[in-house]
Amino acid sequence: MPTEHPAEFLRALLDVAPFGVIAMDGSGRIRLWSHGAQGIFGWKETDLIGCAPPWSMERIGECEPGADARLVRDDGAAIDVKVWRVPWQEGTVSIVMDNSGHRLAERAIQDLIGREKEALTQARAERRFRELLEAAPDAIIEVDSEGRILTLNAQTEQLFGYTREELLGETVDALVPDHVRANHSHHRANYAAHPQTRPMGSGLSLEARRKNGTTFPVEISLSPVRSEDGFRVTAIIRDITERKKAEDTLRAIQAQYTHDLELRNQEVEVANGHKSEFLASMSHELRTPLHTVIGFSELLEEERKGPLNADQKRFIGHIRNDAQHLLALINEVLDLSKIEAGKLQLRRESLDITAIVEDALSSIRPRGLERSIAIETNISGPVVVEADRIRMKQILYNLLSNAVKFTPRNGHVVIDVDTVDGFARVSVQDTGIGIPSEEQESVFEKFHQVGTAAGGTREGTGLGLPITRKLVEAHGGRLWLESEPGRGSRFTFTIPLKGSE
Amino acid sequence: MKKILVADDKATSRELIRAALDDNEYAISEASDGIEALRYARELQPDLIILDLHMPGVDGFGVLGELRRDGQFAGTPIMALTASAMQGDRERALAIGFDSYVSKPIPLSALRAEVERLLGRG
Repeated sequence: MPTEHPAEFLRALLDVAPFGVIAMDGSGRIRLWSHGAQGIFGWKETDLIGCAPPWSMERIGECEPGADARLVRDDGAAIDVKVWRVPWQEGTVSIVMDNSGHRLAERAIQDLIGREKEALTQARAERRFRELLEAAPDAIIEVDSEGRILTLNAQTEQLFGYTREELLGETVDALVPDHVRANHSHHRANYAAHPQTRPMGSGLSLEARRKNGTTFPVEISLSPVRSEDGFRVTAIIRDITERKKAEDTLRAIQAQYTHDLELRNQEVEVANGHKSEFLASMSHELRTPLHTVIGFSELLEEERKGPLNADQKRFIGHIRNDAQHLLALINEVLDLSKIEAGKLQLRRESLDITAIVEDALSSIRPRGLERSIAIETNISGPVVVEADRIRMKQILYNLLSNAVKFTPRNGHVVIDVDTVDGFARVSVQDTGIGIPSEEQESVFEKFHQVGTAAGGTREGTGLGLPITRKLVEAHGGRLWLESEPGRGSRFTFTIPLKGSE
Repeated sequence: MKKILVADDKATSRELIRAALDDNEYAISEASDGIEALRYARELQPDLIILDLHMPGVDGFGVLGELRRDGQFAGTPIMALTASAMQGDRERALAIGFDSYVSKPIPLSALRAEVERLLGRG
């Protein structure tokens, strides 16, 4: 029950009384017309206050105290009542009770219960709101248009080190770091001009100030509230110290990691540079003596300084062959390391791939002829690609010389050139021993050699196919193998057609 | 008889070229480093100079630069003969004034043909 406003309380009591109370001043004007009076006579207090009583009520002053009297309601109906009258200041207070006093009482009680219920509901809603507010993990404050703090929760006290009493009625400037305080009222006015729910100072690092003067990083979201009492703003303030710390740690780790990675990359680059240099100089050192080994072998074979017998000729042939093989190996190792170090530079130009096929075949045909291998081509017209001429020839030469090498006497090698889906497609089919499916991928691995050449020797470096595949891929194409043991092999590669990239 | 100067720090390399090119057809002189190559070039006024690129002291590039600055060698064909496999060496050599760039090892027939070409006989 509201005890802080006794007048209101008394009026409430009068209104719930099971009788009507009517107060008139000295000049006969109505000063009070209780709910009970309204219930009995029908007229409302708002219609009568300050006025003389309705004509039918004029006789009220003549009634004997406690005697039965017949009066008239606002609708003209007669009504039997008992009236008591007591003097009040200059005027009188009449107490009127009708026959159905108990019904009036009942209605008044129900009314009272209803109001109590409503008050209870409101109190409960308020309590729940309060609980919610207090349970929030963030500081929540409500300020008026002047920035004065009207509401705050426990987390606000916790966060800022002030008590509720210290903050209520103070302006939020107390919670703002010294260096931004001067501008804060300006920001508030700005917000009042464009009120919408949004984070405060987005993109900025916001700080708040504790009672002890220390500051901490915060995130603040603002919502405007328009109430009967004017414009208000709710601010939700989140302490992001821990998150900031975690972010800083993460950033530091990231920076360290990036730095380490860069350092590692530099090391790798330096190491790669060393490797390339080493390979280049080693290659130079190896080629220098090979140059004279091969050169003097050739000189002897030429027999300029005198004839050789058959054995001597054969031995010199072996020396020269193996020296050539060694040279090929050196060249390919160097080539591969160049490709792997990403130092392969393609000099692309428009070229007809069928012309390159013919070019490569001109050096392969004699070898095929030696072993009666028929070499056929199925070419219907020029196929133009954008490629490095020397590398293209290297690709074709490698595939064609492999095909001839692994094809027995009287076998066939067939070359098909056509186009498919924007690519030139070249396939080289032989009638050699074939490659079992489980070995088909490993032929593209370094130093892998399949079986023996048809001539019975294990020549080759084991680097030709890996290099060939890398060269094809560097041109944006693919190289693959289809084969069955005993039925030969078919190597196919594709290169994007000119203008199709 | 055409005069050829061969500069190479490897004696066997020089001997190979001498043997391959046949003493009877050319007068061949040998220098074992860059300094010697420059001295012999000026003394002998050869018709063709074959320079190894990698020599101690003044290397093939250095010798060429020196000779090209000297007006009397303006028209002398100069061949680079090298075992280098460094990418860009060929371009660099031809760009600074070598007339020919030959990689070691080279088939003797190819070497002979290149010498003939440079001497204007090919």
